[in-house]
Amino acid sequence: MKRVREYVARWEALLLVFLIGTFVFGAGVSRYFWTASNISIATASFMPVAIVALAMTLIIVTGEIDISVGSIVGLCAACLGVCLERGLPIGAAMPLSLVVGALAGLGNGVMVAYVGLPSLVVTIGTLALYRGLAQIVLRERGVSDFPEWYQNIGFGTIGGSPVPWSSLIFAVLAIGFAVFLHATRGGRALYAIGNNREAARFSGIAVKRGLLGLFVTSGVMCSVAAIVLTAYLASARSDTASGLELQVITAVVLGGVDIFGGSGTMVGVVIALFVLAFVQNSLGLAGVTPEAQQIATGGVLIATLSVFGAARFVRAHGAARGRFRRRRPRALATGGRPSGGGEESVKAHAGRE
Amino acid sequence: MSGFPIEAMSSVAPIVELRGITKRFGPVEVLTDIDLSLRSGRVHSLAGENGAGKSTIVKILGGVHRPDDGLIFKEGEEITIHGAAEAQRHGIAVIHQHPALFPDLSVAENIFVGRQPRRLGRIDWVAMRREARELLSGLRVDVDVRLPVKMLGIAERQTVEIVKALSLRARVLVMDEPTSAISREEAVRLFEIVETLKQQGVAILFISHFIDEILRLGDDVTILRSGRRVVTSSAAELTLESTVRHMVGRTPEALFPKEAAAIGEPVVEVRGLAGCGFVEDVSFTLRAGEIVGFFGLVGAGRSEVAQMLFGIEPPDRGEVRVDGGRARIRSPRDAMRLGISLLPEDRHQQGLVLEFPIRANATLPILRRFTRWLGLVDRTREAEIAGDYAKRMRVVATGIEQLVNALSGGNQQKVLLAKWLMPSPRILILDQPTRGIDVGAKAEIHRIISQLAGQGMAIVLISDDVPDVTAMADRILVFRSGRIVAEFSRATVDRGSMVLAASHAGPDPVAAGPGAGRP
Repeated sequence: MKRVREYVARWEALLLVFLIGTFVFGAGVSRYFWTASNISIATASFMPVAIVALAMTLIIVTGEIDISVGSIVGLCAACLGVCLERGLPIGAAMPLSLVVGALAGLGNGVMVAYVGLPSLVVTIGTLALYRGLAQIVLRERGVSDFPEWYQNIGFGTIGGSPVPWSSLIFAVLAIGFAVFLHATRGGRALYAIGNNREAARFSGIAVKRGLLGLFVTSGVMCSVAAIVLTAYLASARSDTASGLELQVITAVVLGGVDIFGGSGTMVGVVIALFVLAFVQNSLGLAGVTPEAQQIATGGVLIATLSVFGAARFVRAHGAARGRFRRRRPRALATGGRPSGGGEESVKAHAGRE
Repeated sequence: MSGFPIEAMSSVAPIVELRGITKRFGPVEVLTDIDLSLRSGRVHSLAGENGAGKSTIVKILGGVHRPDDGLIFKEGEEITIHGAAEAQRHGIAVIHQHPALFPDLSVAENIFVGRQPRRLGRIDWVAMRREARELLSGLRVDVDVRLPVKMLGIAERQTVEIVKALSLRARVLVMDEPTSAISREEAVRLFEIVETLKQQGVAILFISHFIDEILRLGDDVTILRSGRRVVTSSAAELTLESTVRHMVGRTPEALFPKEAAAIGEPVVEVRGLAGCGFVEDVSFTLRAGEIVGFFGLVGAGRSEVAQMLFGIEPPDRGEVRVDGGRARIRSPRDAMRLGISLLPEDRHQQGLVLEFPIRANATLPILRRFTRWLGLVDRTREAEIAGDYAKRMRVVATGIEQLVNALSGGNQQKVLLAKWLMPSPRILILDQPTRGIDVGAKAEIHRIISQLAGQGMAIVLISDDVPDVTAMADRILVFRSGRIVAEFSRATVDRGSMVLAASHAGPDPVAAGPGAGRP
């Protein structure tokens, strides 16, 4: 089993290699790639996806999924637009949009956790439902008279540096989510739910409440993404972020999170996000149309799933053989602190959990 | 060992005969030198406790397992049975407790699936239905052959499977606990069908947990114990008592009998507990330092009572008092707050997160205790405590970071025990704590349970295993069909009457004799 953990630990390393490969590819495509402004724009344009992916990681770790994220972003963006039209200051519209996002997530969560419907189907339904609401609210209009300071959230950079404000928001959230997932009781519970929901319940973990909380969190993150994306686009439309779910789920799966739940790390997802951001950026610089880029994204998703599917097959075989090749088993009663293999695997598992 | 020579029973040559069959799974020998003859027009009953080897014999006849040693004969010729298709070709059919039919296809289609009668290249529905009706009426069964099978009860599905087997010219029917999942009335009908089959010259191997059925339906009876044939005899020469005695065997020395412990005040009082659909009127008292055994067949309601007490499945009715105060247990967390721990029956599904290391499994219910501000887990303390408990349970592993799916069953069970001792429960419910683990690990777990009782813990021990329960329990409550039907104390317990109470009288369909009551 140690080999499996080594394998998981290696996946993040492999992603780093991908990232470097992407940089090399980008630099080959265009002289413009390696400029501060391009890197800055590529990063800023991807932050809405990245913010939504943080919550999606937690959801997929529990074995659930939220397909409705793009529509929730659209609904929240529509909410921002309407508020602005009605003369509400943007400072008041933002908290309101967060509430809308939370309610949208609550709707998903109640259906999944308490009614017991499969999240895939529930959120396909709300994908249509929330987008429909956004269209009713804003119709074909685009709202674009956002104040300068607000637009800076999406597009502006910190001081004279090329670092976008939105990436700062992402960094703070990413650290928070990573700490939650890997170092807290709640994060441990999510892995337990993803690996064996019944055992989690028998262990006194409030599975339903946890799932509800996750979907609400996802709604709130969608709303944060809507605030950043509307600022970046300097306009709110009802079709904002349509198709976002494809990019989000691709990033999470590419980051090494098992689509069936139970394993994956936040570090992997963050690296995968940057890989995707710069792949799309270089394709754009190479003159590939957004439609064709979508083909690339879909291809990455399917390819990653295939790789992990194959790995799972190998793992199943490895585990079966591993039973008979246990390393130096001994009664824990005889030794002191676990040592050797024990210490190594502490680190390996710390990375995994 | 064998009390009666086989030849004495019948002069009819057997259709299928097993000679000296031995089967091993890894190092474990589950069947040793089994002889068994199935004769035309006779019912051969197979009796034995859980794990005696009954289902392995079924699987060998059905072509699922291949014997490691011994021969199978069909009408005097040696055969091998590799796979279900070959079993079918040899005319052997297994009727399962829950028949695997196509729920959305009609009765007729299920009987003829894959070989529907054809006319002009198309399925001849009329002929197919007619033939199906004829087959069913041959057994005096009245079922509409056009109904989809999902509309039928389990008993009727079993009939469909029997008819299907007959239409495939089966001459040997293996009936694997057919009566466990059906009602008394349905069982009576089933036995009438068995009578008809006998008249048609079919040989039947009948397996049941209900000893009265074994004796009244069987012409011949073979009793297994620990994979060996204890006796083969004509049913007339056996009584309920002698059958049970053969099944249970002489009293072996208990692996680790409970040490004397002072029995204190009542800790849990359960009155009139009902729920889970079939558990009714369960009342008992559990005292500090006492081990109460729950004995019964699978599905008798023991685990359901445990899960109601632990808040997994809230009861419909009844009162639970803990330390004299009325307890409302709606979730496992409520139960844990009252000091209740449940070591669940299914280690893999309910007990452990197999992909977690020993440490994370053991601390899952009490992680709260190791959390600091913001819910951050104190890994150092967690590892310390988990390591402590793993040592106390003598878990054999490379370290507490080893994933539990790499551990042996016995060690997994010790991790599970550690997990549920960490909350320092005062009431410990153990559901089959020693099932499927080796003798060494079993003895250690018994040692631990005994120690805990000595420290004043109130313990419920659920087990199928007769020696386990009689060695460990101060009192034994016998469950049957969701009720407590008998109680024994350590002093008065007698294994035979315990087994009898759990199984005898169950559905008692043959009381009037097979064939009686037919219109």
